[in-house]
Order: sequence, then structure tokens, then C-alpha cells
Amino acid sequence: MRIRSNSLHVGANRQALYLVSALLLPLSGEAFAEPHHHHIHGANIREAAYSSYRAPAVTLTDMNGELVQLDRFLSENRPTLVEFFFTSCTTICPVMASTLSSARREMASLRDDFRILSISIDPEHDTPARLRDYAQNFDQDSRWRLLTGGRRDIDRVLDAFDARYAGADKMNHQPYVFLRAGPDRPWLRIEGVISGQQLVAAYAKVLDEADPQSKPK
Amino acid sequence: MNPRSFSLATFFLATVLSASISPPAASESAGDASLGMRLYRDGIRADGSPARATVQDGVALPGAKSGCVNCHRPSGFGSSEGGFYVPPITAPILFEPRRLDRNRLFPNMFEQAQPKGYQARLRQPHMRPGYTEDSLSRALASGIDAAGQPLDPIMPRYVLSDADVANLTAFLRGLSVTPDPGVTAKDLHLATIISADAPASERAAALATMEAYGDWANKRTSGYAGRERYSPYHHSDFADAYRLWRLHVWELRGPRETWRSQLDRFYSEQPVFAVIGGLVSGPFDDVADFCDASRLPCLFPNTDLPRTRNADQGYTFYFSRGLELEGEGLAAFLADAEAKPNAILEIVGSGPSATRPAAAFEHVLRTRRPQARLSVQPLSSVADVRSLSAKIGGEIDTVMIWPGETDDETIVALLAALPKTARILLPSSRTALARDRLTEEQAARVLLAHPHELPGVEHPLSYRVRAWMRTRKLDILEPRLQLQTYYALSLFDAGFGHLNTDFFRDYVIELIEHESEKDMNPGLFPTLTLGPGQRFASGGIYVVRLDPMAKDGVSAVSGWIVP
Repeated sequence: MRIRSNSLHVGANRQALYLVSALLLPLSGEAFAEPHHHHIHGANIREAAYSSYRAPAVTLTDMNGELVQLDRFLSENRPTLVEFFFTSCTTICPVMASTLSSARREMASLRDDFRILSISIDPEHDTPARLRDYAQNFDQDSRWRLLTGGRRDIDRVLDAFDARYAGADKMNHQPYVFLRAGPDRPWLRIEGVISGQQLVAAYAKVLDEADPQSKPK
Repeated sequence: MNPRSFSLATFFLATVLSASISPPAASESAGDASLGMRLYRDGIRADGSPARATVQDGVALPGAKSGCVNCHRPSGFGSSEGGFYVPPITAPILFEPRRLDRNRLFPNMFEQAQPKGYQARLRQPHMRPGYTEDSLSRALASGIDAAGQPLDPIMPRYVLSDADVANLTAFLRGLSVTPDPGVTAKDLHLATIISADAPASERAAALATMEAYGDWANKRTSGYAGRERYSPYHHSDFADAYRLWRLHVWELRGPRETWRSQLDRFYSEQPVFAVIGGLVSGPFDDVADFCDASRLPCLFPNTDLPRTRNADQGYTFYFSRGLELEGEGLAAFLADAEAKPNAILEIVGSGPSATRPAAAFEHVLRTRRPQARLSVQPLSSVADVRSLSAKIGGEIDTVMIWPGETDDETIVALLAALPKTARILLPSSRTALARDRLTEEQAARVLLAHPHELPGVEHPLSYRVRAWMRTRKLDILEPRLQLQTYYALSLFDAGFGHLNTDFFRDYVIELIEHESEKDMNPGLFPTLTLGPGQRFASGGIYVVRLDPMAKDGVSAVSGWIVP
């Protein structure tokens, strides 16, 4: 069965993709590197919105060969971040992984039982051994799980998070981060290459909205 | 040193000796281009320390990922990935004022699904003067380009010494300056490598397919070039890019030790831009070594014994890891099976087509099922069979046979001598033997590696490709071989077409990596996919049993196993 090209939110063809892209306002002027007054270079955020996604009941494999049943994992009562990547990706994936690595201490100071799932969209190439090699580049801890699995299962996860990319061609994959405070909360879907500060701020925001009374640890 | 960094070094040396490097400005320090190459590729500074790179408000990149090559790629022509346009930084582009070149950007603008920011960047780039060493230094340190405007936040900022910048500048001055050999003003020279002992019908089928494709490509481009200014889809705009395909057959004769010098001689007589398809008996290593040394893209030879060492980032692309993959896949299958093996007899015939998959099988089995007892026995004759069967104890539950060059008769005799309770594993090459020569009782215990798409699963493109062949009066006598050859040709065609006039082999390799998932798989494998640095397009196998009622006599007992 051929996988048709994705669109961000509706339909299934490239025209829809362009149309929807045209409706999205780029949120950061720095995305175009226009001259700007403050000195912090904003990251390339294109959109951030809440959505509900249900993870499918698929079993993926982590870099140590351990099986992870995704829906059960995501039903645990803890904050979770999900993103998609592949180990031979050269442009955005190492940047995202570095960003996740750099933000984790500040995130942990807000609430430290979070988990990060990086799910490979190139399971043909990304074996657990390759995931381990990739992970060694980044300063990380056991909160970060890299996952691979069967092609169809990965596709089901992409579908569930509305993260399919044009032509089923992984070179067209877009940077997304999905973040939520717990299984009863909606996912914050962030499109773009989020910066470390923005990630911490988004994490603080979803935690705060889930439990406005609580103070950071 | 991996093959590509070695060959970049030789490339650099070649260009140093040529007159066509953009001349450095008078004020530039004399940097060391080989140190600059190390910075570009490995992110290592002149003092040996890793470059410190930060992106996006101070996120530190690991040293291994901070080299320029990661985004700007070995050719320097940049990339399009994840919705980002990474511009080219080759010498003719970097050290000259920015010019708007619709032809170069045509695929990015009109043939890719990219977000709004990407499209804006292409259509409204910052105009800037050519870089100098000074402005390059400023760009790398503070992200301000040669026109004083900020670079995208995803471009790293680096902490580098003046010497580092001088070295990098010297390297960049030689990056993708002179187009690679094999392309003349009118022609694109290509070769296919065939060993003299290739079966005649396979050789004929492969060559006929390549000639038909080359003829078709030439008629196509002649048609475009002949319609100046009113061709469909602006094809005449690319008139400067079209070349006529000229195919050369390089036939390897005699002992393997002489192959390398034969290839060097063929190449010196007629340099080619790439090698496509081909049929080489036995291991492909010697040819792969030649391709790496000559920096010659060798695209999808029909081999099941690729050179799997140092393959990533090299110059040869393969369909799969062939027999080694079958070894790994069968071992992974056994390790994950419900009925786990406890006592395995592995019988290894002669030649690399037995020893290589055997080594791969043993490695994976020992890692994933260390509890199993594994006994390895050589086999090369009927006498061996008799002595083996005397040695085999009754407790063997699994027999893995790698026939290699052993003939079918010996294998049939071996199978008859094996304990009747053991399951029997065979490589895909003996599927016909298993189907046709075994007793029913034996057939029920046989499992085979199947590194291809399952019978009966049709990919739409296969219909179109076969129709194309029929309209060209091409007999389809070797369907697998011919479809594989077609894939190699069409993927090269797509990649080469996107070069426009930038005839650089590293660039065509990057384009082929990029194009690989674009629906060109004619259905021989469930998936054919590449990526930056990847060289094996298919990574798994099915395991099948014999099933007389099923199409082609086999049906799957596993999912797609990526070992």
C-alpha cells in the first residue's frame, strides 16, 4: 500500500500542504534572519498548538533492545516529550538532540520524572545498535529513550501524532516536539526547531496548566 | 581514514595543482587546506581539539556533529532536510557575490514540499558580496554574513582561532571547483562492470536494459533541447545541462588479483562519471576499493557479496548487505523465535558465499542467543557428508547450511543425512533446490532467508517499468536483474538530472541519497531507502517456508526482520 503524502492538518496532498503552510504565520522574525533589536537569536518556531493524540498499541524497541509498548508507556503519570528523528539525519536532528540534552537539568528542576521519546522514522537503517551509537554523541541520561520498530508500527505512530511527511520520504520530515504534563492532558504540538529556553518555557507552561497550584521542586 | 576523506585529500591535491581554484585575496593568510578539511569534515581544530559550536541561543553541539559537512555535505552543495534549506558553500559560490540561479534552485522551488519559511528563503535570499577570510571569520564567530545580516539560528557559531579560519578558507577555496571527469561538453560517460564469467543470459539482459534506457534518455533530452523556449515544463531552460549518455562495458577477465589494474586501465582510457549496475562474480570488494580510490560512484551492482567494511560514506551503493544480511537475519530469527534453538549445527561450504554469511550468522547468534550450543562444520564433498552424519548427535534441533560453491547434489545428499527432527535453514539462493529436490518430509522442516518482497505483493511501479520494457521491445528474461538494473539507472538519472551543470560526483551521491525514497522502488524489496552516508538501501529479510499452494512456492513465517 502506497503511503500518500501528508499534510499538516487536513487532506492528503501537496497542494493542501502548501495551502496550510501559507496559512501559518511564521512566529519568529528570526526565522528569516531579518535584523532584530534584541540579541537573543530566536529559534525557528513555526507553530504551537494543543491537540489530542492517542498513541497506538504498538511495541517498539529501545536502544538496549528492550521492548516498549507505546500506549502503555504513555499512560504513565508523568510528563512526556515525543519527537521523531533518524540517526543519519544531518540538519535538524543533532540540533534537537543537543537542545533536549541542554534543557534537561532545568526541566528536571521543575519536575524531574519526565521522559523523552525520540522515535526513529528510518527503522530500516536504525537498529538498536545504531541508536546506541547515535545516543553516545549526546550528554543524556536514562530519561531519554530512543526507539525503533517495524515500519508499519512507526507509521501508525506518525499517523497518531499527525506527523506524516510528504511522499513518505523521510527527507521531508518536519521538526516537531510533542509535550504534555500527563496522560490526562492534551499534547502541546510545537512545529519548528525549538531552542533550549523555549523548551524549558514550554515545559513550565504545560506543567503549570496541568497543576497551577504546584510549585517547582 | 575512511575512503571519502582519503579521496577528498587526493581531490584537494589535484585541485591544488590545477589553475582553477578561485585565487585567494592578497590579504589572506596561507592556510593549510588539509587541516581545513579536517575541520570541515570532523570538526577538529588545528590544535587537535574539537571545535566548539553553539546553535539556537547557546545549545552546544557535540564535536562529532559540529563539522560543516553535516549540513553543507561533502560536496559543499548544501542540503534540504527537515524543512531547512542549507545553502551551498562551494568555492565558486561562497567567494563570489550571490547570484540568483533559478536553474540550480529549480528542484527546491518546484519539486519539493517545503514549508513557507523555506520557500521565502529561496525566493528572497540575502544578497551579499563574496566572502573573504575576514568576513568568513565574522560569520563563523557571530553569525553575521558578508552583507552584515544575521545567519539563520540553526547555523552554528564557532569558537575558532585565526589559524583555523585560514585553514578552512584554504580548504573552501578548493571545494567543488573543477567538475569531475566523465562529463564532456556533449556526453556523459558511464560504465558497467561485468566479469567474464557472468552467466550469458544475465549479462545479455543487463546490457540490453542499460542500452534501452540510455537510448531512451538520449531521445528524451534531444527532444527537450530541440524545443528552445517552448518546451514543456521549461525543459529547454536546462539545455546547458543535458548530456548524451555513453555507456561503456568494462569486462573483467582472468584472476581477481588483476582486476584492479584492469579497472585502472579502463578508467584511464575513458574516464567515466559513474558506474551503474554490473555483474561481478564473487566478492565485490576489489571493485568497491577501486570505486573508492577513484572517487567513482558505483551504483547498485547486482551482487550478494558487497564490501560491508567501511561501506558507509563510501562510493558504492548496494541493494543490501546480501549474504551477510541473510546470515544476520536468520540468526535474529532464531534468537527471537518462540521455539528457541538449543543445539545448532552450522555447515559451511566453500568460498566467501559460505564463509561470509556463516561469520555473520555466528556473530549475531552468539550475541543474541548465547545459551545455544553452536557447532560449526566445514563441508565440501559427499565424503564430508558421510563423516558429518557420523558426528552429528541426536540432540541437534537446528541445522544452518551455507552451501557456498557446493553443488546441489552434495546438498541434497547432506539433507538426506541430517537428523529428521532438526529444522533446516538455507540461504535464498537455494530456494529452487529446496522447492524441487526435497522429499515432503524434508520440505516441511526447511526455512529459507528471503531478502526480497514477498511473492504476490505488487508495487505499482513494477507494472509501469515492465510496460516501459515491453514498449522498447526489451525481452524480460531475467526479471529481477532487469528491474534492479532499471532502478539503478532511474535513480542515477534522477540524481544526475538535479545536478544541473554542477557535475560533481560527491554531489550526485548526495542527490541519490536524497532521492532514494521517491517512489522509484519497482517492488523487488519492500523498501529501498537511503540517507546521508547510507549505502545499503534494503536492510532486512523475511523468513519463509515451502508452501506448494502459495505463489512461487513459499510463504512467510516472519515479519520483515531488520537484524
